[in-house]
Amino acid sequence: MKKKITVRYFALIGERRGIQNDPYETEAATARELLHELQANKAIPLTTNISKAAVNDKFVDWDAPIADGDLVTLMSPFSGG
Amino acid sequence: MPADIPSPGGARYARHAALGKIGQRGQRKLSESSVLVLGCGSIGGAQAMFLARAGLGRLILADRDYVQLCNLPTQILYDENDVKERAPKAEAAARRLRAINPEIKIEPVVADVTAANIEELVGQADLVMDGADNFETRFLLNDAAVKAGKPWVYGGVLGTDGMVLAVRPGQGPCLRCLFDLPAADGRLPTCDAFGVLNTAAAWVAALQVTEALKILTGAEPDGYRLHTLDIWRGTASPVAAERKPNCPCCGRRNFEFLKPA
Repeated sequence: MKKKITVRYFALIGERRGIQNDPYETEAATARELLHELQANKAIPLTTNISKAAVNDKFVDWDAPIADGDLVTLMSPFSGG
Repeated sequence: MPADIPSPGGARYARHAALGKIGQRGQRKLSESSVLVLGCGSIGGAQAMFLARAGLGRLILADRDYVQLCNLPTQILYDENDVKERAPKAEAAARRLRAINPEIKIEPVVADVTAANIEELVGQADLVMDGADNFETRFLLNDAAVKAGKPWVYGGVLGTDGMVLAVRPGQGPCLRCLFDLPAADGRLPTCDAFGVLNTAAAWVAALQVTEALKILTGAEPDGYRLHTLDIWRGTASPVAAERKPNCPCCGRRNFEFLKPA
């Protein structure tokens, strides 16, 4: 069964900028599977090498589980100053 | 040079000292503190200004660059004269800050910060402010600060967004606990390519300085969080972060950026 989650992008991802919350349905079991799914379905340019995931406003490893109703944040760090 | 304005009894800092969170005791601690501002660009310049006005005892300003015209919209310490003179940023910043607050010590360092000199610079300060514009310098700073047990405050900006993390070595996560991405430098978008809004840089700097003031006045940490800011939408979201026991820097204490290549 597909899980209804919210994906929050915090990075410059294509035309996306700033904090955006997107409702999303997924069968991904982990943050890593979700990222791979989004790479395939939404062509997001993030990879595990240059980004991090947070679930419900807490940083997690890429193998952390994703549950129905979760808020999953994907971000890459900012270097500007 | 303007004449010194005497501040008997601490009149200069009365509004800050009146704050319960700082008070006379906190103001005294600030006056006894040394801070290294590493990079005097859009966020470093704003940090230095807030810190100088707040009455830090000693500010060390490190930057290797010269003031250029394209800096003026985002780098609030500089003016057209600095551009005409091709003034080093650290020296132009020191001149401006001395005019704002001649009661504090301000030491410009016009130099490239590298593995050869960062430990000596960090050793002179109680806390370091990150005003760098690249990850190479930040991971170098992370190594030097964690090795010395000195707190530092990460701040990054891109477009209209920013991130802030206060690093308290031995207590909370360091930068590499969150982003172990040294290879990512050069693959992530930069302000040169995507621009930066001056208010976003000032917001990042304001939050960094607030975190620094909390540390320097002895406030207990209220959790360990990476703050994410989006000034265009006017939103801020904290993300809770923990130390990684196997972190190469603060876990295994392998300070690889400090070692010669």
